[in-house]
Amino acid sequence: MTNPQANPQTEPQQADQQITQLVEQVLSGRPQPVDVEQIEQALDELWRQVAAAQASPEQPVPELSITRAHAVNMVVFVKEPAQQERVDQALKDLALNKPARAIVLVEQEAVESPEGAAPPDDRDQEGQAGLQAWIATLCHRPDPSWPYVCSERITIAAPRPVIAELHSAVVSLFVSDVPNVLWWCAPLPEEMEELHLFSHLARNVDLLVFSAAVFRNPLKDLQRLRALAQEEEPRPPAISELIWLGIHPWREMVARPFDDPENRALLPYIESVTVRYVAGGDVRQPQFQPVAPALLVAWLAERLSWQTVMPLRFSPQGIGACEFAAEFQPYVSVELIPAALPGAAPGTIIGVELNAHRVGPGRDAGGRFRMERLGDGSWVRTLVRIQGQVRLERIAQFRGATVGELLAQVVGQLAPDAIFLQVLEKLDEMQRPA
Amino acid sequence: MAEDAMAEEIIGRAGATPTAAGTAIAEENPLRDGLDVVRTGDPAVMVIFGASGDLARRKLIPALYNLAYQRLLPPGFTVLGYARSPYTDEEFRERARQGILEHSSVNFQEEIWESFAQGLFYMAGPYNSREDFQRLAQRIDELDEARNAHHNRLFYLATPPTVYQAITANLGAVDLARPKEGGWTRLVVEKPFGRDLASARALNDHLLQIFQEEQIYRIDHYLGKETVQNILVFRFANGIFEPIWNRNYVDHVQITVAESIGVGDRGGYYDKSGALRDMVQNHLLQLVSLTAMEPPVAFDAKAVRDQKVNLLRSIRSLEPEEVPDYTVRAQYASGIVNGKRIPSYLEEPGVAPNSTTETYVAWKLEIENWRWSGVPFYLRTGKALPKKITEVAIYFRKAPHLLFKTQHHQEELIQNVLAMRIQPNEGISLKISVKQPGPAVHIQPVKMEFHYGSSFGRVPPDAYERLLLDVILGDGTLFTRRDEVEVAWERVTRILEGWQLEEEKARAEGREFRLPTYEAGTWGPREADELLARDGRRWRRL
Repeated sequence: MTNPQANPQTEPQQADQQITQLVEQVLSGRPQPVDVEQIEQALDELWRQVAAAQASPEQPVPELSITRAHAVNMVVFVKEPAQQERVDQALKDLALNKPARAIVLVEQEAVESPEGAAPPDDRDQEGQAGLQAWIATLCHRPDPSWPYVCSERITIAAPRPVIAELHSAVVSLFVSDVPNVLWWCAPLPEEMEELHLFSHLARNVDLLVFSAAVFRNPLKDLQRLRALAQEEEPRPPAISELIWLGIHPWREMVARPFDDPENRALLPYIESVTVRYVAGGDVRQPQFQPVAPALLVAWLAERLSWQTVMPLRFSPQGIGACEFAAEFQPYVSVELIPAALPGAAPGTIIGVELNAHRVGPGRDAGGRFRMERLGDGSWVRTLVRIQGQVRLERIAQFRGATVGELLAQVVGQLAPDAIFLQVLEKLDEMQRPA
Repeated sequence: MAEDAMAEEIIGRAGATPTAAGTAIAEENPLRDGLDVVRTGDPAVMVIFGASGDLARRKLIPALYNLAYQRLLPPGFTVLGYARSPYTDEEFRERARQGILEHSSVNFQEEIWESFAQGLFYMAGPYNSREDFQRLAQRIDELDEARNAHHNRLFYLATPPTVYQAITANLGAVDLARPKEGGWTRLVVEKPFGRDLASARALNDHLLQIFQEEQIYRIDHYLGKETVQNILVFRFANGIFEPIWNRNYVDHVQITVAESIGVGDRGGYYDKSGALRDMVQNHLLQLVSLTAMEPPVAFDAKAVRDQKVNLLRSIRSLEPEEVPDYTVRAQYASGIVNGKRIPSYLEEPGVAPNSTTETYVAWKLEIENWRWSGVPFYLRTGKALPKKITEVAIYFRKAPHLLFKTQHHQEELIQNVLAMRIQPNEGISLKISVKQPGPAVHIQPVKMEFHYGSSFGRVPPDAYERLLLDVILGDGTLFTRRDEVEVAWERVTRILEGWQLEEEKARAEGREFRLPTYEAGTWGPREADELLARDGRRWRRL
């Protein structure tokens, strides 16, 4: 990288060409290989060139009207090659909402050069054996009249034996005075190297985000998160999980009808719950069990103080069933029904129905609360019937949030999510043999 | 993306501030725990008077649609447009649809529109006919019944102020002003709220014969802007600024509200108003009060408005004779703004050829209290200025000993300036001085900046969205109270009286009175520069 403004001998044409290359490099976000030990210097040099081009009185470069921003340090650990594309897209989406210094750590067997990047020099240096690194920018314009907002992505690839030592490189790259988040986009760590890396990074972050979707046995492994959150020494940071974050709108939709006191009076009398979800593989295999519907049911049970009577079981057809006991309802039956929604990923919730029935002299009442995605899933209809009469019918837009948007949302909170831990406890109860 | 499915309302949760009412819901509904309480308010019938006009089409209907899009409008929320133009419900809906397509900040979605349009109705009628208001009352009752609006009514005066009294008198006469049992009734009054102290008082007296003060929401859309609200958050949520927010550390304050357009086809209206009434009495004095007020004891309607009123009361009233020493008024002359030629104000259609209505005002305002004594607040606003920009700039005192002073012009460079940009490119910057790299000591100013776009990745929502939601929720914090309006008018009326005296004096001396002019596309008249130059200061370059 050379400074187009620094050399007075530079011919104007060459300077133009260099500025064009600089603009292209910054706005395209194409990764550039760098020495691991020179990452910060390489980024500084890049931004120094941008500043010089911006400050040039002879050659104002409107494309380089750029604000460099960091609202968070986002460390991502990726183990499976299949997850890389997902991480790339998530970081782009995150940058739209929360400019981040993204530091992506990849197991070397799992990585090739990032998309569009030249391979780094194949050299081993003392103390950084086999480490490879790339830097890239993530730029967007919030509004056409605004300058570009740019943040940075650093990718470090390392072979497994060196993974354990990566934390020191990561911590030195943190931008100060902003929150640090670790997104562990991999199965829960089991091997020594990963455990070492995880524990060191966890000590240096304010929030741990997991993806149960890549866990080997998601429903069971979620209990390890609960155990982790309850550790006394060292006290872990706040913990969150993407599937749990993803069901937030369903929680909202289910909760909303009960803001009305007349509907709320039926909450203790719920007698059945049906959750329809997109089926994936054979749910008797742990990795195919639908996590989102299970978490939603656990949330309802925890919030309404239901006790598990019959634990969650799945039939070969993918139908999940369990039973609870509530204070005023001896049996609350719950079913998870597989269904289809074209284009939706396995596990996606597509409908929830709650039926309540209150009996008693002069106080018989029944209510049906149904929330379902319509058509291609872009819309959701809420239908509330009380005593057979439609009390509320409402159609609203529903769209899939990206992982990046979920990350931006959770980064904006950072506080421990007590409800999540309580729900995990209920989920544990739901899986215990009767 | 299965586990990441998320409803639109959660993504756009910026406006979902928990409220006292929301907290109560959260406590009672066990499923609400851990979820943000989205403020959706009660269902209601909202009657927009002046529904065929520009304000309704460009601002109100698009803002309501945006709220519907974010699922912030309660089910059963109904809009009944009322105006003289003879539209049918269908024609009104079509106008509304066009307004949304042109002015909404969110995507137009046919399904959302269909649901929203089902709640749009229209009724044609005059504003001064009691019989028509009887029909209106009947229509409201029918809609209330059909759409289960729980007897809640919201009346919005989006008409010229000349018919405010007729409308509200008729609302009172047909018993629409009094809340029905189990419901609420609220009235939103658009600016201008009077044209001087006497007319503002008369309007308040009139309204308060029909409505209670708690029912009246006097709107100043500046208060709905995120960046204006952020002035309070910036001041009172950060420990480092408030200790230096006073005469010991602040040299002066500059507040600019600049518009790049001329009066265009609004010359007839504007010529009866002028920049002082149109901008200073409301927007600029609101910015002054939020910037300079004492900390409120709580962030609620009463506490915030009490402190704003206290501050406005502290603004020194000018004697008519001293007005020329503290204010500058001017009209724009022909010039070019953004590459487009603008005729002089006096050549604009609807403007009287000998008009003395000002299109530019600068005011050296003094606040007489312990915090701000001796710290001038320089206000300026105008039309046909080089660009549209609103900002509050706090100039801090220079370091007591200029160790690095080398050249005279550098003294200006080393004054710290905190600029709160209200629009566009919303954000906050702090100018500090640093040493330029090199063997010599050259001081260079640099800016530390915060931008909404770079920190939050999105443009703040429209002010009307927030304010309409607040009215539906019954939260008056961002609306102006009677005493607030009247104190502001009292201070502004003193200036109007001073200007009138100036003109009478000229006439008595047989002189033709002409306002100073400034070329369109420049930052105002020479006299405005002199106003600051007399104090050894100059306007901020924007």
